[in-house]
Order: sequence, then C-alpha cells, then structure tokens
Amino acid sequence: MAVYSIFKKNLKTVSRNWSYFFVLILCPALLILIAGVMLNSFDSSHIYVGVYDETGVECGGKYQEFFVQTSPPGGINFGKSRCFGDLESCLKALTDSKVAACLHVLESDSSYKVDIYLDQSRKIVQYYAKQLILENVLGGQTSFIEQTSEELVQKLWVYSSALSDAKFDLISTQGDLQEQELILVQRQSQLREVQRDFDYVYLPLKQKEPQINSLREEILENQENLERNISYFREKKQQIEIQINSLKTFLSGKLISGDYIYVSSIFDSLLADLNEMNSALSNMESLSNQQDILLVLDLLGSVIPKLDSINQALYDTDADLTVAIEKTREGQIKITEYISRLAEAVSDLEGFKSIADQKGVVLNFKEDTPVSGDPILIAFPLLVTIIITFSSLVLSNLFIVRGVNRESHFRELISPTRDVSFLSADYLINLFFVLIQAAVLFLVGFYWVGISINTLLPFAFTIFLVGSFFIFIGMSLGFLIKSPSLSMLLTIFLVMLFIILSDLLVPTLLLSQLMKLFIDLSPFVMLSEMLKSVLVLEKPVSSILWRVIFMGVFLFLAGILVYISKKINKRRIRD
Amino acid sequence: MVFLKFEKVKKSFGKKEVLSEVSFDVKEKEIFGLIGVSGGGKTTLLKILVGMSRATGGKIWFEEKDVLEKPFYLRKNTGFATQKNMLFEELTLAENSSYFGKLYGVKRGNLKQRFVNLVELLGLGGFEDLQIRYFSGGMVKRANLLVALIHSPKLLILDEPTIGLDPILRENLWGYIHVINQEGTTILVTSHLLDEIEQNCSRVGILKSGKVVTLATIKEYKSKYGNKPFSKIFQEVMSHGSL
Repeated sequence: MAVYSIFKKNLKTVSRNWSYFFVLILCPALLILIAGVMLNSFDSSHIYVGVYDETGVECGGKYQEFFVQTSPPGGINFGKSRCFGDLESCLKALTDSKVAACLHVLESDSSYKVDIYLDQSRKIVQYYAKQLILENVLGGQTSFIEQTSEELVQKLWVYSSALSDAKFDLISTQGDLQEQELILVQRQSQLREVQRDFDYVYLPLKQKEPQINSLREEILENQENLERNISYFREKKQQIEIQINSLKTFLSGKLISGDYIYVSSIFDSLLADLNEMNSALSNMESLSNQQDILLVLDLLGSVIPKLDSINQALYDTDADLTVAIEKTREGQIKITEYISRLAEAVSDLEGFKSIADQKGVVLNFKEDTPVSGDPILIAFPLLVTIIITFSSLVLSNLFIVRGVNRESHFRELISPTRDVSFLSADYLINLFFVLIQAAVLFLVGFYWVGISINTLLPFAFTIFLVGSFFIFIGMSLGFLIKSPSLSMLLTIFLVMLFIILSDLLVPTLLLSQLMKLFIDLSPFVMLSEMLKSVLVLEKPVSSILWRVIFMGVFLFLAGILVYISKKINKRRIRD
Repeated sequence: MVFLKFEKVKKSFGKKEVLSEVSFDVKEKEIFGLIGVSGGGKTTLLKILVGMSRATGGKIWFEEKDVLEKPFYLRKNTGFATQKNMLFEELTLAENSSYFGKLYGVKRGNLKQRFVNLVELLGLGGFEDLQIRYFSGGMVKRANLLVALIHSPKLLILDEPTIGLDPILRENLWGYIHVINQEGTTILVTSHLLDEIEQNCSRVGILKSGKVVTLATIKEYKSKYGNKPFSKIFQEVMSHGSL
C-alpha cells in the first residue's frame, strides 16, 4: 500500500516535470537519429590521404604509376588524395587533421617505396587509414603476386625435375666411375704383370747391352780383317794369275808342247785352284753370317733403347693408371657430395613447391556474413546501452538527490513508513521510466533499424536486469552525496567511466587478459554484449546465461549498497 | 499518565552543546508553547522528538513509551508542521494529503472524510486539486497543517507555524489550531511571536542555554512578574533565570 502510494506520488511528481520527458523520450530519440545519420555516412573511403611524390610532379610519378593505375577495378582508390609539394606540408596537414595519412613516395629503382605517416594521436582514424592504404596496395599487388607465384611454381617444378634428373645422372656416373675404377685397377694389375714379364727379359738384355756392343765391334773388326785378307788374296791371286799367264806365255815358247801342256795344265790347275779358292772365299764371304750377326747385333742395339722406351712407357702408364684411379676415386667422392647437395636442393625445392602451392589461400574481405552489415543495427545495442546506462544512472540519481534535498523528504522521514518501502517505490519508479525509455528505444529499433519483434522479451529482461543495477548505483550516489551538483557530477563521471572501460575508446581485444576480464565484467559492457547477442545475433537468453548470473550477483550487491546508502543518508540527517 | 515527557534530553554538535538536560512534560489536550531565543535549540528539540535528529542523551516518553528507542508509535500519532513547506509542490493538495495519509496507514474511506473535514476547517475548499506550487504562503501553511493532521494525530507539533504570515492569516491559523485542539489534539508549538504564545498557549516553557528554565501557565507568569506584556516577562526571565 505504502509502496504503491509512494510510487504513484513519484510518478506524478516526475510526469509533471517536462525536463524528465525531455531526458527520457526526446534525448534518446534525438541521439539515435543523429547517430544513425552519422553511421550512415560512415565510409573509410571518405578518408583523405596526403601524398608527397618525389618521383614526379603533382603525384604524377610512381604514385600515379602504382597506386592509381594498378588499383583493382571496383576497389578503393585514393580518389580523395591530396598532393603536396613537400613532406613537411603534408605532415602539417596530418597534424591539422586535414588528411588521415601522408604517403611519401620515394625514389627507388627496383620497386615502389613509400613511407607512410599516420596520425598517432587518433587511433581509430589511424586504424582506418592503415586499412584503406593496405587494401589499396594489396589490391594492386595481389594479381601480380598471384601471377608471379604461378610462374615461380612452374619454374620450381622445372628446376626440381632438372635437379632430380641431374641427381640420377650423377648416381649413374658414379656407378660408371666405380666400374671404370675397377677396370683401371684391373688394367694396372695386368700392366704390372706385363711389366714384370718384360723386366724378366728386358733387364738381362739391358745388362748384356755392353757385351753386345763389344761383340759387335769385334765382329765388325773381324769382318774388316776378313775382307781385307780376301781382298789381299784376290790381289795376289790376280797377280798370280797374271804371272801364271805370263809364265805360260813364256813357257809356251820355251817348253815343248808336251811339257808345256803339262806345265800349262799345272798352271791351269793352279789357276783353277786359285779360282776355287777365290770361289771358296767368295762363298765364305757370301756365306759368312757375320752380317747376320751384325744385323742381329744392330737390331739388338736398336731394340734395347726401344725396350727402354717401352719400359719407361710401362712405368709411365702405371703411374698414369694410378693417377687415373685416384682421380676416379676423387671424382666419385665429389659426385657423392654433389648427389648429397642435389638431394638437399631437391628437398628444398620440394619445400618451396609446397609453400608455393599454398598460394591458393586468397584473402577476400567479404561482407555477406550471417550478421547484418547495417551499421545502425550493429551500433544499435551500443546506443541503447549508452542511453540506458546514462538515463538509469542519471535519472535515479537525479530523482533521489532531488528527493532528499526537499523539505518534503523530512515529512517522509518522520512518517511511520519503513525505509524498504521508500527504496522499493523509488526503485520501481525509476525502473518504470527506464522501461518506458527502453520501450521507446525498442520501437525505434523495430521501425527504423529492423530488429525482430521476437527479441522483445530478452531485450526487456536484459534492460530490467542491468537497468536495475544502474538504478541502484544512481540511487546510492544520490543518498551518499548530499550536494546535488556533486552527486550529479559523480554520476556523470561514473557514466563516463563505464564508457571509457569499454570497447569505445580502445578495442578490448587489444588489451591484456586481466584488463579484458575487468572490462568484460563491467555492467556497461555486459549490457552492450547481451543486447548485441539478443538484438543483432538473435541468440536465445541461454547464450548470455553467465552474464545474467554475474549481473544477478551485481544487482544483489547493488541492492545491499543502496540500502546501506539510505541508512547512511538518514543517519547523516539525524546527526 | 504523562502524555509527553522530556527527561534530561541532551544534544551536542561536536563540542557545542545545544541542549543540556532538557526536562519538561506536555499534558494531554493542552496547547504547550516552547519559546526561547533564536538558535536556542527549540527546533532541534522538536526534531529529536520526531526522530529527525538523534539525542546525545536523555529520554523522551510518549504515552509511557520510549520514543528514542521505539519511534514508530510516536510518529504514527504525531503531526508535524514547520515554518517551511514540507509538501510536494508538483502534487495537488488532495494528492499530498492522500499520499501522506497512506504513509501513516490511514484507510482510504477515513482518509477521504478526514480530508473533506480538514479542507472545510482550514478554508481550503476549491483548492483541493491545485498543485501546491501555485498556493500562496498562507495557503501553504494551512496545507501543511492539513497534511500534518490528515492521520488524526494525538500530538500536533508546530514549529513557527505563523512566521511570514500577515496578522489576519495568523489569527485565522490560530483559530484552526484551537479548533483542532478542541477536537482532542495536543499541540506543541514553538514561536518567536510571544503575543501569540500569550494568547493561545495554556502553558509555556522558556528555553535558555539549552535548558527549560521556566514552565508555567500565562497566569502564573503574570502573577510572578506582574501584569506586563509577555514579551517583557520573557526578557526578564532570560536575564534573571527561572521562575
């Protein structure tokens, strides 16, 4: 009964104050309208990029060549770029927020080299500017990279095959060399046998070479003596024949015919004997084997140097074979090394090939995800969160601060009604207005943003849970801080704190785990995430169960806090 | 049975003692006036009585019940009207009285009847549905009185009820107070206006240096100090001490 009366009184006092209407209805609607207009105009292509191209006049150098001409069709182009004559003026424009980034296109022979300056003081703009530049540059390079990597893969295949073939050839050559080595070793072995056989003949012969030479000289001397003696004999024979013939002629006249015949016959017999002797000597001369011996000896004399040459050749061949065998072995070792290196190279190439084969991973930034890309729908939970947080905290604080600073509050204090009744009624009236505001927001969302009607109940439950928490906190501050202005300032500070400890200032994904956990437990973030799950993702309430549990605990603690605050307020008045 | 009894009630704000062992009693159905110099602790004493301020010592008995230990009984049976407006300006007179009546647990039927009677008594007819912010000073005083009486309290506490009002309005208001008193309500009133006290109160206590130094009927004061204006008597008491 008392709660109802207090509630009704609160309702009347608030409803007859136009400022509440303004705060509750018009402000949120206006906020959403402005935010909607703002979000609709949101496009990263609106970013102006400053360009200082030192390779050409008025951005006509490599910037024109790469960034403009090679930009992907339909992709983001730097249509909104501003050219600068020097880097300083571009950087000044950056610090003056006239451009979001400065591209300094540098002289470079082999590639397009660009220094990029971003505004460090505005992280969000920095992020979008970076994204815009990356999209543009990557878009221009993607096809080139694709083409290059295809060619690379093809060449890798060719090189890999060639290296594999070379490896097999080398293995085959290594086999041949091993066979050749065996043959050479065999040949060397055979050569050494021949050398041994040769030495068996050659060495004694070589030892006999002086004797042969001596013998030859003796034979030559004997032959000369013989020829000289035969010649002498033939001279004497001729003289004898002449003398015999003269004697015969002389005797023919002196001697009787018989005698003469006799003597003549004797002389003829002597001549015949001389002729026979001459014949015999001629035969001897002709039959003498001195010449053959000499010939043999000459041959022997000429053979020995040749045998020396052969012997030397044999030794040289043996040495050559040894060298050839060594070389063959060295060749085999080198080939083994080459095979090993080739195996590594082939393995590396196989690795490169597998990497190059992965070029199939093509990044496409698509927007056709199950979540709507409508920026207003995406931003709607956050907007609702801000409005509900702000209004529930400020409204409840304002309500309590105004209440406790009225003279009528004393009349309430001296009444026999219990504190819990006042607290309940104050909470209910604030909740009532917050729910009205939530209803307005839902209608705005339903008609303007396109949220589903099925989300109404989870939406209302979420607003009830977190809104109640904020109401309790706002009420507590109202009870604890007596000065209306200070209390309101603290409440607004608290709202700002909630907003700062959220994704709005810095994406929480970039924060440390501890900080992220702390922020995740912020009722502001919880409300935002719960509304996102419910409104945007249209998930069931069970998906936000852990947050509901946490908020339930927070709500209970806030309830205790507001009760204690009320008691403190009362005690302060009484003291 | 003592209706209302203050027994060595003390109140200090830090080292400053505002009330030091205030002791007096108020009889049932009388109009008791409590006077003293400004800042003498009158309002503080009334606030302690209704539970808006905490006593640092002493006891207060209301119908033999310890008010400081169990304040609800006294609150339920007490009406309190101060020199300031204690109503909600955005609410009408009817809404204010309905609201506060319900806070005091008055049944709806009784509340309606009581409201009609009080409106008639206090001459607020025709203004029932007007928001308090549109009321004149005198009407606000009467409206406060109405709300203080809406739950038919046994004790009506009035803190400077006529301050800021013109003489006619003051007289009218005292007329209403007498009617209320005649209906059986005990009145405990503080005022700077000593002639009002002289004319309307059956007994008067004078608060000096945090103590009630004298407590007597007007007749007793006159017999002691002579038939002079009460303001002169008050001055003498303040300069000489007790009766």
